[in-house]
Amino acid sequence: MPLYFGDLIPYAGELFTGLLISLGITAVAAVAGGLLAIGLYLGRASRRALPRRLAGAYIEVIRNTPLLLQLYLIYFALPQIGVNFDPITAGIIALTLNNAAYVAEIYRAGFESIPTGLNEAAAALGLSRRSTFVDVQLVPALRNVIPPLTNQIILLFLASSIASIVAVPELMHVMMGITSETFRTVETFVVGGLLYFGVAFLLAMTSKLIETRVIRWKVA
Amino acid sequence: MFQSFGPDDLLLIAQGAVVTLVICSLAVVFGGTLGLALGLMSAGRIAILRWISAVYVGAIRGVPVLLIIFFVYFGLPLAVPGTDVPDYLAAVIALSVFASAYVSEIVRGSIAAIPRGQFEAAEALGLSYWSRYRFVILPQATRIIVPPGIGFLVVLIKDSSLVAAIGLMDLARSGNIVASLTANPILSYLVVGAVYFVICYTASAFARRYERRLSTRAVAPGVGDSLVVGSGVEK
Amino acid sequence: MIEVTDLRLSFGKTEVLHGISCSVAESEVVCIIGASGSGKSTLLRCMNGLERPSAGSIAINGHRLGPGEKPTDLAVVRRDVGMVFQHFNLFPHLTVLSNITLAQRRVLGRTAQQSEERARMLLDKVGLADKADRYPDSLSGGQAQRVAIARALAMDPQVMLFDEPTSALDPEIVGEVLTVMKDLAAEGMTMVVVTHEMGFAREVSDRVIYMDHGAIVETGRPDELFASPQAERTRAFLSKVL
Repeated sequence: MPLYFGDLIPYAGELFTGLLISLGITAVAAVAGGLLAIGLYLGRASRRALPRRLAGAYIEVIRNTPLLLQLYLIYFALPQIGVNFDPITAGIIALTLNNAAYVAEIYRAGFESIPTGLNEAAAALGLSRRSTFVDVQLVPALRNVIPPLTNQIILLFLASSIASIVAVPELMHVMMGITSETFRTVETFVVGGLLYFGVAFLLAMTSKLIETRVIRWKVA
Repeated sequence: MFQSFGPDDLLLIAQGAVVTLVICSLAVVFGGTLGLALGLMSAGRIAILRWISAVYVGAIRGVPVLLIIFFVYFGLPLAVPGTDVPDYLAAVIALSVFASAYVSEIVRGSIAAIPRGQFEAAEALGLSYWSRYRFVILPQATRIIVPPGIGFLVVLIKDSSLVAAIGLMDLARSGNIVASLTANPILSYLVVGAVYFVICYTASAFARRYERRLSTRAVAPGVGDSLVVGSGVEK
Repeated sequence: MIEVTDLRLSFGKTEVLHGISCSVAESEVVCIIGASGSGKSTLLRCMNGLERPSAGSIAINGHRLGPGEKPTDLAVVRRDVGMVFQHFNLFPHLTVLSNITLAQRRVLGRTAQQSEERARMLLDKVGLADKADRYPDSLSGGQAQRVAIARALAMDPQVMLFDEPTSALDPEIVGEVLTVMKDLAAEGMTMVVVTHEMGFAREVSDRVIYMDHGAIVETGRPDELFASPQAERTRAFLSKVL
């Protein structure tokens, strides 16, 4: 079966724009989700039962239901009660809400993987709860979360393809459009796949670089 | 006129759930077997096999699942001319491919988590490669594999929802259909969501319980140890 | 200085300390010895509130730590009591100097300059003045433990607790830490040391407590206890380790 990539050349600009939109959606959802996750984590770690249970329930629901369904609810179901979002906003909201749950758990793991000995030493020295958090736990926790966070961003980027289902003109949607015009299905998917893979690979390399530079020490 | 949400709709959703569970089970079987082979390759000593496995896994995990599904559904008939790929077959193939890459990483990680000493002792006793793996390594690896394996199962069930995009009547798509039949998308999707939640949550809860029992099982000391010194030693 | 009265501690349903009573006088050096699981570390950790007793009480300098003690009492006790851990527990993201100045500034309210002076003085005392700006991961085990001792001393505690301070060290490095501890004892610091180093216990301590299965079996002066142990169990333990 002959493969002819030449037909795709006129679509290079479209593909590139689609990729930019994918990256844009990813960036917004990553930042917004990361911030929302701080609130979620603080709720989860709170000593009061209500925030703990609410945050915990939110995280469990998000993590045990498909992203697609969350998107359906936001884009198709909310209009039933008069809340209408355009496709790109709906996509960003769904990705943000989804991302926040996973990032909150990453924050939690980052704090919990701090060796208990450090917390005990802080307690033995008489450091207050606040000082223990800021002076002893925060920096090690930040360094702990960098690898899983960068991984999460890669996953988020791949998940942004879901917005194609509600016709957001990101990369996956552009690819489907090209296939219907050129019928060069295999070629389009190969090129698109390479684009996704290329970006994911670059992100992974960047994260390795950050890790080796930032995480300088071993626990002693 | 639109019907109101009723038992017929629940039946449709139930059918969708069955389809989801069936394609996921098949994907686990096929993808799991392939993933096991890939995992053994990537943990093995033959460099070229490690390389092949790495390229395959890297490629699959570096693209969206949706892409794999579309590629199999639209691309396979072109690659193998004349074949007609029904949607459920494309779904199972795509999900199996996706699963194999994931499982391969889990298997590789589990083998790596077994202390070197086990390999060395088995070799010193003169066991062949297959005997070593069959009687010493894999039994121990299996116990480590279960929690992340179930975690992956949950991911698979959730990502399987994307086959709705190629029209397969799985749980997610049944939600679409019921939503348009009843003009009540909120209720429809909430019900579908609840079904997903129950399936996934029970699986995760099972994994958590299994993980708690892991520490009391007969696994070599050092398996799954935290690698961080200073983590507090109880007396 | 430290008064332990009928201390009991249970983890869930398992009682780990069965009614311990003992006392430590000012400037006394007490070594607690015993097999793993005998409860000696648990007892030590009760003395600065890292473990809470289920019944009975501990009084440090008059401040009671019982099952219902208030957080303010705990903070006061921790100011008077310093602790050195088996695995050092230095803060990996801070320099050696910062490790020692952090609590001085946050807990004692000393200025940056005051705490730094004290820190450098103590580093000099433990022989590590040149390591002030290094990070803990560049130190050997013995050096790290000496920094940990300096960190605890910087708080000017009245009692120093040591939880198997040399158990995680290579044999040839153990000596440098024990030397610091001996000097500390000679200066009159009140010390409670959980240890397996029988030589240290015999040389430096004023009193030795032997624990087994969560209870004190025997206690006495080191020359007496090591030479002629009264209890059968003590004899059995010592014959195995000496």
